[in-house]
Amino acid sequence: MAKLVVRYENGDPERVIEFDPRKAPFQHDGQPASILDVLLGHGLFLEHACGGVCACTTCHVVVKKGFDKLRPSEETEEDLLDKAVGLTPTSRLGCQAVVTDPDAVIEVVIPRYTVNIDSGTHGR
Amino acid sequence: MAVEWTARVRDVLIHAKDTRSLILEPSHRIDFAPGQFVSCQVPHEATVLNRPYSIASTPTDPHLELLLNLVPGGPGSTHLFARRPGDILRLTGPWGTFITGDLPGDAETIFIAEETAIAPIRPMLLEVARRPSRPPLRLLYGTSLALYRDELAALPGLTIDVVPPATLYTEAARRWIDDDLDKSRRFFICGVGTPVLTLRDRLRAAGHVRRAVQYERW
Repeated sequence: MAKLVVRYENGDPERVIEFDPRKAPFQHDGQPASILDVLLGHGLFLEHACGGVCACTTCHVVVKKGFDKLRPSEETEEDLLDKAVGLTPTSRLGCQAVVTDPDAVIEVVIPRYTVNIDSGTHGR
Repeated sequence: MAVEWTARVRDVLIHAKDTRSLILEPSHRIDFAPGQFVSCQVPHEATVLNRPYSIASTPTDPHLELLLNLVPGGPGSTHLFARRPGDILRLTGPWGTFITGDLPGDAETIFIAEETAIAPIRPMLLEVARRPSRPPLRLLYGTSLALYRDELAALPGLTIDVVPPATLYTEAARRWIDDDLDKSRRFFICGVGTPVLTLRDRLRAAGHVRRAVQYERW
């Protein structure tokens, strides 16, 4: 079984999900077996304003462990990540970061903020 | 989790059998940048889906306009096409990073829109055209309906070329890849599917700076 450890920058309790990526998709949105798919399919919310189709940055996650266990990003994802708040070298979009290794151990941090250009109260 | 808000459907404008605008009255003022979208909560089977819709109105309009076409089997457009005046939509946002930002210098700025993908580009053009200082603007618009064409044609500093939708991407490639040595232009492209990414890749491969080629793929 693969393991996904989820930590929250806002201090919410850590969660651990064990899953078999070969049984994906776990729900409707994002690439099958993506971090977004795994989270939503196991009852954990991750923002995904575009519906998980690689058209926004709201599912931005920072991968702390297992970065090389994820399917590499493509140019569209990189173009969007360029605009993500708090971008790091191991940032990914949750909807596109697909876990392929059934024994992978992935650890991610969910940033406190998702991008909302007008910086209002919406989207936070 | 995003803050949810509601909007009442004030009007439904039917442009064609499969194309319409929803005119919405939000529960409160929505500040957004031209080019952004809202995310609509769509009931689907036993769950709720998020589906993004670009805002076709401008931030100064008293209403929000969503321009959409019916996608066969698509839960989002099917839901929205069934809405009538008085219905309430649940939304989040605004979201998205497909915006013009500053457009310094005098490099020509090209907008390329495919059919209803004019939605985010319309408010971008309306806003940019009002700026005291702006670069030359050009819209290459692949459309059979020519929505907003007359309104946009009245904007100062904007040249509009309308082409059949089927020829949009080949025309863009002919103009700015095959026959063009000027690599100073900026591009804002909105359309459906792989052709958007193919045009992006070809423009960049032809020497246009990566960040000068902005796009939104539906």
